[in-house]
Parts: sequence; C-alpha cells; structure tokens
Amino acid sequence: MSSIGTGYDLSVTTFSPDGRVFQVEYAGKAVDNSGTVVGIKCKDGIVLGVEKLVTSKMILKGSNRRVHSVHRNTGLAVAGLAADGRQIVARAKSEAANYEKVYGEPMPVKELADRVASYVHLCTLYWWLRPFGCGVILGGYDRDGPQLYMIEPSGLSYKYFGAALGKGRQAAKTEIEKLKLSELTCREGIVEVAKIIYGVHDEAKDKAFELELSWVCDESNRQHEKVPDDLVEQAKAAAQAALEEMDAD
Amino acid sequence: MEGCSVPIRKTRVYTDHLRENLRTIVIFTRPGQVATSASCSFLRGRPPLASRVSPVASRQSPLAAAPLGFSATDMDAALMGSSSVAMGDIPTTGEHRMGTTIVGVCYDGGVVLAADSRTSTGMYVANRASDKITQLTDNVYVCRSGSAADTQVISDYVRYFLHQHTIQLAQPATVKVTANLIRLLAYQNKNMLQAGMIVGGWDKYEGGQIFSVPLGGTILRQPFAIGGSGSSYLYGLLDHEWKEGMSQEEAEKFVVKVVSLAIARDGASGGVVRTVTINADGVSRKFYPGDKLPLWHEEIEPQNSLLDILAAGNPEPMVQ
Repeated sequence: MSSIGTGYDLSVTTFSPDGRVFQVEYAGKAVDNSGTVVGIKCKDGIVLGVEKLVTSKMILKGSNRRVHSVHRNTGLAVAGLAADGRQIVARAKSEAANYEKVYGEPMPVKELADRVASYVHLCTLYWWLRPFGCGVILGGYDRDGPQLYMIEPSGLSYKYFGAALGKGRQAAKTEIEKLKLSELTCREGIVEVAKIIYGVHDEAKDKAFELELSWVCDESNRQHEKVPDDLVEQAKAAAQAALEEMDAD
Repeated sequence: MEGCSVPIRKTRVYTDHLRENLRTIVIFTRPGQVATSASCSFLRGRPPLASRVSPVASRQSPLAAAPLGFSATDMDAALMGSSSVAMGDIPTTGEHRMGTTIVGVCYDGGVVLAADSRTSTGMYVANRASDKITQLTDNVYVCRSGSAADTQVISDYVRYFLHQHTIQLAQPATVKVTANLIRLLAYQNKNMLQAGMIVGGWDKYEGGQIFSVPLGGTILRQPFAIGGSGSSYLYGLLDHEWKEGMSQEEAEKFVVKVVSLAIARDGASGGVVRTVTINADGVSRKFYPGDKLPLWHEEIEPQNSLLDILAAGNPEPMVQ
C-alpha cells in the first residue's frame, strides 16, 4: 500500500484529492518499522509484550523500557519513535493522576484511552506540530474488567481482544486469532505472547532482541507490573522450544 | 482559592484583621439591614448568634464565576442605616441558615436520606416547609445544612460538573465521585463557606453509600451520618439504636423517628420530615407532616386549662 502523495504530503494540514492525510500515513510507517508490540486480553487480565530490538551490545539489559505503567492498574506499550512515545506516556500519566485528584476514583481505562487518543489526534490538526510517530497499546484492569485499547498515530482508538503493532504485526495478528482468549488465563497468556514474539522475530534482519513482558491481572492484584522474572524465563523457554519444533518440521 | 475584597468602611477593619483571604462582603438592600462586625462568630465557623448576623449575599466563586450581584449604593445605604441589634429587637434579618437536622442511613439495598424542613433567618422561620434534600444526579442526592446560599451554590456547581462527567463517561456517576466533587469545593473554599453536607446514593459498583462532608471539607464514608444543629441530640440515640442491614421499611421508619427527636429538642429544626430513598430501582420521596411524627415521652397531650390538670387527681377539699 505504498503510494506517493507528491505535493499533497508536505503538511499535515493538507488533504490529498482522494481524501487522505499523507503525513499521518507516513507517521504510521514509522510505527510499522519498529519492533513488534503485542497485547492480548485474557479472561482474568491483560498481557503486553514487546520485541525490543537491541541496537548495540553496549546497552544495558532492561534499559530503554518500552512498556510503561501509567497508573496503578494501567500499562502502555509503545511502538515506533521512542522519544515520541515518552511524551505520550507522560501525558497519559498526568491525565490519570489529574482524574483521580478531581474525581476521587481511579481513571476508567476507557476514559484514559479516549484522552490519549484525543491527544494524539490533536497533533494531527496543526501545521506547526507533527503527528506522533508511534502507536500505543493500552491495557488496564478497572471495575469493568480488563480492557485493551490500541491508539494509532492518526488518533484512532479501538477496543480489542488482541492487538499488534510493528514489523511483525500481520503474522502476530494471525497467531492471536488462533488463540482462544476467553479461556486463557494470564499465566498461559504470557507463554503465548512470548511464542508469538519469538515467532515473528526475523533472525536474518535483526540480530538481538529483548523480550519485555508485563501484565495486569487478578494474580498481580490488578496492578500493572513487570511479569516476575521466573515466569518470563519459563515463557522464553517454552517459546524457544516451540520455535525449534517449528524449525524441525 | 482567591477571594476579592470590596472595600467596605465599617466591616473592613474586622474582616481584614481576621482573614488575609479577603471575603467579598456584599450587602443586598433589605429593610432593616444590619451591618455589624458580623464576621466574628461567622468566621470561627459557628452558626451566627441571632443578634450578630452577617449580611452576606454573594461571594467570589473560586471557580471564577461572576459575583452574584450587588450595588454600591446599597452598601452605603445599609451602612448608614440601622444600628446594631443589641437594642431588644427580635433578630429577623440576615442570611438564610438552615439550623437543621439531616440524616443519611444505609440499609440493605440502598440508602435513605432524611431532613427536617425549617429554614430560619435569625429567629424568623423563613421557610417552614423547605426541601433540604437536593438532587445532584439521577442516583445521588445531598442533604444540605448550614448556610442555605452556600449549599445551594455548591450543589449547583456539582450538578453542573456531574452532568458533564456523566456525558463523558456515558454512564451514571458514582456516589464516590459526587462526594469527592463536593468535598473539593468545600475544602478549597473552607474560609468562605459554611456548609455541612451528607451525600447519599446508589451505584452499580458499590451499592448504597453515604458520605459525610462536614464543615472544613473532610470526606468520610459511613454506614450512617447525621448533621446540622439538631444532630447533637441524635448521637446517643443512633449509637444505641443503629443496626446494620435494615430493610427499607425499617430504615424509613428509623430515620423518621430519629429526625422527629431532633425536631422535638432543637429549636432550629422543625416542620415536616422529608425522606428520599435511593436504591437499584430508583428514587422515591416521602413526606411526613407534623401530625404523623412519633411523639416522644416528654410531649404531653393538649389540655383545656390548668384547672383540668389540677382537678385530675383527688385533691383534698378545702375545709373552712
């Protein structure tokens, strides 16, 4: 779907004759070039996983986090330009804190997703701002249960059972669709997400990557947190085993 | 929170002294208006004594709403006008207060809010059938005590915010959110307000809840709450008689009994008892006129004349 919008793609405030805003679509391309981000909604919570491509051997393991907590019960995984993502995370944190200060209760996930989407969309309306070059998967567990939202650089926000962004999103989505999410617990979900990310990782093009996993579920007391290390290791082992099986076929 | 000061000659000295956050003291034209060093008892947070009532009619809203209206000439007229009350006049002027009894109780399935109906201006009962239980949203009501104007304005603001919040959330607001909005206004403007409120309602997450927001702006969730001047007489009764998990009829009868005791003992409470019951099925209002209220033991049957009382027993005949 690559089309050149010659002349109509110089400014985010210009429509093309066929009704597209090219700058926003180009922002989407930045997201498509980043490491895969996967989010699934299991029956008791949300699992977020990121294929964090490691560009240099000098980088400390665990730095450059791509999954952030924006509130006690909500997490955000970023795909695309990392610096843009930091801005969105900061805004989401501030929205959530402010909501709780005024209304006295934790911000509902739906409301937070709305606010983040409005903010991202805002930056597609003015010529002096450029759109965010990142997409975001927002997962949270509030009094209406676990919910998963994906917000694209255009400001589009939908609620999902499973969502994926980045290089391997097509393959990831196919894999997610095979899962029976309504019967999966988060413990099992972690393993599935790890398998998906290992599966879509392209060994040839990108060398090393780190798997970042986070969850918010009944087991974590409805708090958003990093998946405990032992579970991550188990998930990695299972994922690698599954890969070898596939290779063996 | 900013207040703004309108320079008023006589009262300025007192208010500036006592409070750096200057209040707008504004005087409506009313016959017999009294401008005294009213602020003293007022600012200490007690309901003003009948003889020293502050003629406050409008305040600078912390949320930058326009002042409710005043006229400079009225101020002068009032100041020049009547002198201090300490001359034997019956105090019948000043701000509308609700010396009041308000009660909120949770029962199994919802909440019942109850209040008396007396609004007094000094010793004059300005409204003997007022409705102190105000709707904030479909499922949350608030009982108001203290300054009538203050609580009305707070209720109006909160209703406005809640309306927007409900639209944004696309579902009814929770009781906790409502109580928090009331509390933020009460706390951030504590120097300017005298409002004791009890917020009660029902939502689908936590069921029936009662939140007490007294003077000063504390917020406290309680299984039952009482407020207003008449509540002093109720602490003992409630401590003794309160039961968890009453049925709806039990709870309604209970609050009526409780409020009628306060009406019997507190001069600033009176009139009828109004109740509002809120539960999953909705809201229902009930009204108990004076003759339907339970009597307390110290209330006696009407007598025709003193002689009847005396003749009741068997007195010794007076022997000449």
